[in-house]
Amino acid sequence: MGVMLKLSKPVDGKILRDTVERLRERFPYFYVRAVPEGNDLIPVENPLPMTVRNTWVAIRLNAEESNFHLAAWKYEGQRVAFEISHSLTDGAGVLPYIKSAMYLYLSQKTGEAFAPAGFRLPGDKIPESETGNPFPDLDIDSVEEPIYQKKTTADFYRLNRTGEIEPQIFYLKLPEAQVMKYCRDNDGSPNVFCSVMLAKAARRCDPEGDKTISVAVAIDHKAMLGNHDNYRMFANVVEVDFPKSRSLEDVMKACTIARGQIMLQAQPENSMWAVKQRKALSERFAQMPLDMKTGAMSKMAGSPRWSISVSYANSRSFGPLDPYIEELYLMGEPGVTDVCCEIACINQNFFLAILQNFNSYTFIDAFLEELKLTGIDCEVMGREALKLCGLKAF
Amino acid sequence: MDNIQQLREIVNPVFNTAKSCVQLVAGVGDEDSRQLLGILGFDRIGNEKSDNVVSPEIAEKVKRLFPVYAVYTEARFQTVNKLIEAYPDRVVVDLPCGYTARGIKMSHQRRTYHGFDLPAVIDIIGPAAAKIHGGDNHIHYDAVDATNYESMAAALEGERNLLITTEGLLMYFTQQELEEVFSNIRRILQKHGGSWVIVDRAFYTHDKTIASALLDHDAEMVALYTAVTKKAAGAVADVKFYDNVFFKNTDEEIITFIEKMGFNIREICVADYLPDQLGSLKVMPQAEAGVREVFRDMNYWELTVKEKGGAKVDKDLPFAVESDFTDGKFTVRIQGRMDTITAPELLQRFQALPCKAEAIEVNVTNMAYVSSAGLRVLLMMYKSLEDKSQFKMVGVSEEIREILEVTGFDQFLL
Repeated sequence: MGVMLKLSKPVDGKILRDTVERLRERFPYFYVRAVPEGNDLIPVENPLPMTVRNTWVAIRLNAEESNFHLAAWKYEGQRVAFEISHSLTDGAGVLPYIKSAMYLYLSQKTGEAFAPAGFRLPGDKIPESETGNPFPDLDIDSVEEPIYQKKTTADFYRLNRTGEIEPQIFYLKLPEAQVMKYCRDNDGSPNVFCSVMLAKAARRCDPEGDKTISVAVAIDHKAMLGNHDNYRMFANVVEVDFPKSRSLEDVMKACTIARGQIMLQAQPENSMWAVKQRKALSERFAQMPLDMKTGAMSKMAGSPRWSISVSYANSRSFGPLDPYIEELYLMGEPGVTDVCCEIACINQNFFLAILQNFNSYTFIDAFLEELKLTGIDCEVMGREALKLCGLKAF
Repeated sequence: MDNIQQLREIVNPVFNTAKSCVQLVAGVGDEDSRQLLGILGFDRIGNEKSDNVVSPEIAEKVKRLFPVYAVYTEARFQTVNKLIEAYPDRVVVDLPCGYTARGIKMSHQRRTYHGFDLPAVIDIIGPAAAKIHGGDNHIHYDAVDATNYESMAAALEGERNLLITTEGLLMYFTQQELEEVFSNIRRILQKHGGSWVIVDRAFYTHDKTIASALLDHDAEMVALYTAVTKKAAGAVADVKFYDNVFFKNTDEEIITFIEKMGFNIREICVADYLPDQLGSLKVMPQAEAGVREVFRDMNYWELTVKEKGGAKVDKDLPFAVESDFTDGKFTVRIQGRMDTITAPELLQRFQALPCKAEAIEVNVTNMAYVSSAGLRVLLMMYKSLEDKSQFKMVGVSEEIREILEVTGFDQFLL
């Protein structure tokens, strides 16, 4: 996964490198390499510098070219990106790091003395809630099954019609006020709005397709259970189904139904249950030999499980840094879905990264057509082949 | 026991109707009913286990009322049988089946038949009928509760194209129960196809006219008959009978209700299905022409599910909440759209209850739309209950049901 920002001025590589190294003190948990220990891989401090490259070419993490880090920086012109293995963190976990990086970088670059409130800066004490057990007060083991659990839709619609993998990314910008008004008028939310529009686009592309469009909407179990600080990866998804039998013409009803589906799966007791299941899985994995475990996880990560994914790591503002940031995108790799929609918000605009694992304009054109019907102004900011860092196998 | 009470026990629709139907039809010459009655052992009309002795005065009145009740019962039973013959491809669902011989008749006709009734009835009629139809595997007797969709759905699993007939049932429901039954049957018909024929209203509205024609327009006897057959039941039972729209309102108002519940209506003239010979009329040939004339004015209602939209609620209805909190039960009736603007009003009422609710009943008959905010409030209310089975939603329209079903809320709210 990654975060990409377009700054108002070209990126200064020297300042960026300096910034990245200074952040090691405040975010030691991202400056690690993975080493085997028994049947497991554990993160240990990586004294080598995290790479900061003046190129958009992808490299492999956990490899010599990334100094064996599980994260890397790159920049080109006004664009700067940070990429990190999902095994370390999730969107909610990485955003504070990005904000701090931009604070240090822009402070040095502009000479401005920005107010430090809301930024995690070198010299601060790292609170236990950020790195320790995110749920110290919850009795996870005694959690009972929630009242509702959705059955997974196994036979879902695939947007990659040819099976050829050639990942692309499209960058879109939508005015926040227009989107939020549309959401208010139609019982939506940014996640739900995008889910419905993407499902409509899929139907528009293939009106005869009769399989259910299954949308995985990202949720953060940590936040669901009251911890907003922790960096650890507790992102998961809830599933929203758009069966063929249900017309999407009535956008309000489609949004209500999507929100209802999300609501039922995103209750605190569902998160507690999911954490309990994750703990049990982890205990089972602990018994497995390392190669078997990494093989199983790699297989799981590469198997399609939904048609589309939608994720919104609620950023909204970098505070005093906002004037220096023109665009902000989060990036996920389409692996378990054919299309990912990553939503970010800054400077009163939503920035959508639409990532697809196939090289075609058909779907994105249909999506833009659906957006046009809403009356929301949508600007296509760019399109390119997706070049996210991969991970060298352990 | 006073005279009226004795009469009540003889023809009481609550306690003895189910039994007296088969007795009366057997008594006027229906062979299947006679055979079944022999097995059932209901050898005396009325309270077969009672030692009550009817006074001579009452006995005389009974003697005059009995043929009226026999005509009423036989005509109802046989017209429905004839009507079923007009739908040879349908699976017959007899709701309620009581102790009648209809299942045996269906076996003769090689039809698929489901007799629905409460367990106390099914436990007796099922084995008794099987002794006659010899284990015909197309004849089923199922213990169901019409207010419980799941019980009916389970019994009809795999069946298609139904003809549901209802005689002698709707008067026992409160308005809320009635709405629930309509909602359940609409779901059943949506899933299985077919139609629902309702007999109860026709006989209720023409009961007095039939009695008058048969009793030589003797006003005193007609009044007595009416009192016995209608009021008596409610007076001795623990529920109030005839207390819903089907028996309290005009035909026009009932039709509006039925349409709102998502059905189309077709009228079926009762006389078209009246057999040429009715055994019960043999003892009063002078009344036959008059009675047949009454039947020509009577219509059964055949209900089919509206193709689209189901129960339609006026979308412009203003939002309103009526609520009551009695004996730990929070009862609420919601009208209009329950959305971000309006849902907080319901939540506010719920949170302002003087103590925690032990049961919740939400009537959404007039709910035009439920948004995610409304769903959230319903979920909060549901989750607040210690005993989750004490949450009930009634009057769910097609629009609302679709939202509940696709979101998954139906799995615990309905």
